[in-house]
Amino acid sequence: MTRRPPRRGLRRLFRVSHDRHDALDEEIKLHIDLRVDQLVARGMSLEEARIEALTRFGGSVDGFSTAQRKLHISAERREEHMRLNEQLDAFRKDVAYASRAMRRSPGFSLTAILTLALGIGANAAVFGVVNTALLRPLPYDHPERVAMIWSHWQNWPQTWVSPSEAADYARQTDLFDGVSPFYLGAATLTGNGEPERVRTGIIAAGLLATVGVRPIMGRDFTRAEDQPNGPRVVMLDYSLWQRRFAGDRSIVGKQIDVSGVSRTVVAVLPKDFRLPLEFAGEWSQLYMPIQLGPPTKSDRWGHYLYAVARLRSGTSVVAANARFTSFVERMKKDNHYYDPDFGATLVSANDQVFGNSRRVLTLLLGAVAFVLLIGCANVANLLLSRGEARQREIAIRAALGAGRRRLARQLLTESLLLGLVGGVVAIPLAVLAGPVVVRLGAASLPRADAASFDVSVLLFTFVISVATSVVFGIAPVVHALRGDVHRSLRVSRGTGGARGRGGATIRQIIVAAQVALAVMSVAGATVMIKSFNTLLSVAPGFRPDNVLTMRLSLPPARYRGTTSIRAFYDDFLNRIRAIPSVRTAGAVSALPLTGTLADWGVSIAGDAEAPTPDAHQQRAAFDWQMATPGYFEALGIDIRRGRAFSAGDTKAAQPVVIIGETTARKFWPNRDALGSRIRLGGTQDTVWREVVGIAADVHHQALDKEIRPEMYLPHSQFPATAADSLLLGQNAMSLVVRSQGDPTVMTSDIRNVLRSLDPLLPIAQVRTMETVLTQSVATPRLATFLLAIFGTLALVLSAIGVYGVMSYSVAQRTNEIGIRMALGAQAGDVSRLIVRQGMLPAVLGIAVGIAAALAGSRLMQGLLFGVSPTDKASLVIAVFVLGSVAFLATMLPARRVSRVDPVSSLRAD
Amino acid sequence: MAPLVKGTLDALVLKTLSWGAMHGFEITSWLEDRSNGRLGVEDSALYQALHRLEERGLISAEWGVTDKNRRARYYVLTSAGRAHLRAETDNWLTYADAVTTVLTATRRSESP
Repeated sequence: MTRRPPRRGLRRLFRVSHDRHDALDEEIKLHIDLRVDQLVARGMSLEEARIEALTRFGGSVDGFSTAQRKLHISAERREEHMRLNEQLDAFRKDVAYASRAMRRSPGFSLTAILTLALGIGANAAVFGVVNTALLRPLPYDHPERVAMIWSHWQNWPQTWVSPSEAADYARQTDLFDGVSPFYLGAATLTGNGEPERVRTGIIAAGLLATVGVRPIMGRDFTRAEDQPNGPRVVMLDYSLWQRRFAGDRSIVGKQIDVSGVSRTVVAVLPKDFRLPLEFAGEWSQLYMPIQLGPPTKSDRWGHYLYAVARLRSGTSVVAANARFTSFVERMKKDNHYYDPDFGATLVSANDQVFGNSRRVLTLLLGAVAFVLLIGCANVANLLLSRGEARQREIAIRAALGAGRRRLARQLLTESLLLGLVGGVVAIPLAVLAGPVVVRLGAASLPRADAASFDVSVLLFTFVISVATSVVFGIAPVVHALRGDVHRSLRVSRGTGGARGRGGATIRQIIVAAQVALAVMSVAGATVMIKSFNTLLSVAPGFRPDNVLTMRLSLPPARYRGTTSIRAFYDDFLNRIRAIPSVRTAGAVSALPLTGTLADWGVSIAGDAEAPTPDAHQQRAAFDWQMATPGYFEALGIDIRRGRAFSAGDTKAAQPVVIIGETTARKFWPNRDALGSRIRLGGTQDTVWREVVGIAADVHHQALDKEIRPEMYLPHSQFPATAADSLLLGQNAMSLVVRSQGDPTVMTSDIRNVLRSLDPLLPIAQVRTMETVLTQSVATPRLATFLLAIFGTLALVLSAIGVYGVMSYSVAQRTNEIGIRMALGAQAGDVSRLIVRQGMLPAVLGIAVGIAAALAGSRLMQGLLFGVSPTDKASLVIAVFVLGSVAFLATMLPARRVSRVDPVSSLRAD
Repeated sequence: MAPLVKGTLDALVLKTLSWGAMHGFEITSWLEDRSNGRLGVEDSALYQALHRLEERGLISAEWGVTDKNRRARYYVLTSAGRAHLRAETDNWLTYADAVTTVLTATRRSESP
């Protein structure tokens, strides 16, 4: 077929079809003319012959133009079909040619494919986690309309709401479609196997509607069930239903034993249902109605509820927040119950669940993308080098009539094939690595348990394989097409330093780019490691070594009243202390680093000698917890002054309290806190308590959170003035046991002691204190671990990149080096020259990398502890590491120069 | 002129081209000559057939010049076309033989 010069746009389209019609018309005209000639030769008149010719063509004279139109259409169809065929055919040929080229140089192909597979696999593994954590919507109906409501005071940036507030908020129907309070608890499941301690969600009726979830079996709690002393009902988490009740389809309506109380199962919840706060780590296994009843006056002050709300449709969280804030302000003005510095805010469910991890995951995604980009740079350089070796082949193909587009498509097909094979090899890598990432992040990453290698990960792998192929495939194409093919044909193999000039420049740019990326990766990893070390070096306020902890909870149904509970713990702790390997043991209501403590308003006596109930010096609220004798010794919390709790602190003795060091300094700025007195607000503990000890500060919330005011109340004395039946959590305590050696070996002894006291009691969360400490830093640990891995990969890959390019350039310049040395240059001079030239792109890359690292340091803001994102030392380390690696990678090939024999190198061609 | 049995035109065109490259009118004349005018082919149907065959890659076309110095589109058989012609010829012969056998049967067959 003849080639027509290309024309552009619409005009071209019309022209082509015009041409085609012209050609067909010409063909038809020839046919008619020849027919007329034939007929005239047989003796017809010209006029008769014309009519006969047209008739024979289209069936009749009038049929001619119809026939002609039909032919136009069939001709067009033919053209289209043939064009498509041609393209398909070209593609098939490209693929066949590319796979032949791949097989012909297996070493090259293997290196490229493995490099790509490593990068793509790491990306797919991280994406698998990010996908579920960030991209998949929360399992709520219209999750963008679900928000948490939080109270805040000056000292408490985010805390609970009270029952009265929850009721007030729920009445704002122009703002909310529903507000449902809940809190988290724990219960003991008995019957149907071993007793088991499980988390519970205590939720208001209608909470399921608020988040927009329907049970897979049964129904939500009714309003009638959600009343004080209402019926004993329970909803089951899906995993509990599967695990403990073997997925019993007829479970709804049956009775189960929860903390010694028989409850009717009314529903089983969907597999992915979680309360908004429970997407990371453990989650509630049972849900029970909150049964608050109408709020009373004293309910104003009890801030102990979480609240989840559904915004009215069409309201964004931001807009809703503005209106909500002004509502709270109005309430404060009209209502004496609120403090002046009280406030409340909405946090979207999405921010609530992912707020903390979004940054970490984005950072990891960036870091792992860098690894892939650096890998791409290596493959691009490999392709470039090979492209030069293949220059003659390409030139021959061009000389034989392959157009530039055709050649470009051919080269890109080869890249695509490499990328896709790399992607296929990456899949098993990602499948293996994904669970490791998930396990590392399970305790802290939201929805990590839902992470899976699904279709979206496969799709992602495919997309990045293709994108990667284009990224590393573009440089060889540009290079190949820029070259003068005719000249390459004339130039013989291996001669001429000038031949690879263009390629050398592209290669150096690529090396500079990958070194820049590596500098950023290494700097990021270094800052992260430094931050993590700083975090680990924070003194937690206790000594975690040789300490075993476990959670224990006495069911109120069997242990009625504080007296019997105290008696149990006294007995239990004494028996544990009698175990030979135990040094000391105690218990506390809330273990450090496992959650947030509630605070309690206190009055500080102005004068320790003559306390009067009204002598407030300042209003204060301390985080409170209950502890038994032996707790401070067992956990290794130093008593700075005064004493720890002792067996003598009975209900009959002088009420006492122990406070933290910071608390003492802050609230007793000008006098001695020891011996001073405080009194708790409310009616449950209206006695003046003497400060008998000042304990070392404990990082209770988290290692990276500042110390809050804290106080310890004796388990044996608190609450002093409440009825014996009132439980403020005395039944649920964390046991803390310090051992002589390995603390885990004590577990069975402790279980035996417990079984001898009460065989129905389960223990939960048996962990060493070291584990508690480790789990509390799971997120920074994950980030540090992965950044370190990705940083190392980046370093190794870029070292290989620099080394490869240098080796190639030295090999290519053997001739030139031979001439230099023949002309009298010393081996040392030549290798210095080569190192100098080789280091140029590396130095450039390092400079760009520093600038980019500084510019991008914002990404790490908020993820670091005690280290600035632009930490100078880390940058210096990155520069030093990259500099020396690049130097080594340049040095090794340059040293080979000294082994060049000028004579044989000149004879090489 | 007998009308053409449906589907045979393609085979006839392929057969014609097996003698060498021809333009449209040459194909028509060749067919008319060989059949002594017994095969009636409407000219436009021939061109439809040519388009169809070219689309299927059984023939290809190239511009050339006639002995009277006019531009003409010359059609040639591709190797796929040659194979197709062989298969079609076999089919036709088998078919024609069967039909002939039946139509010219002189007595009822008896069971052996």
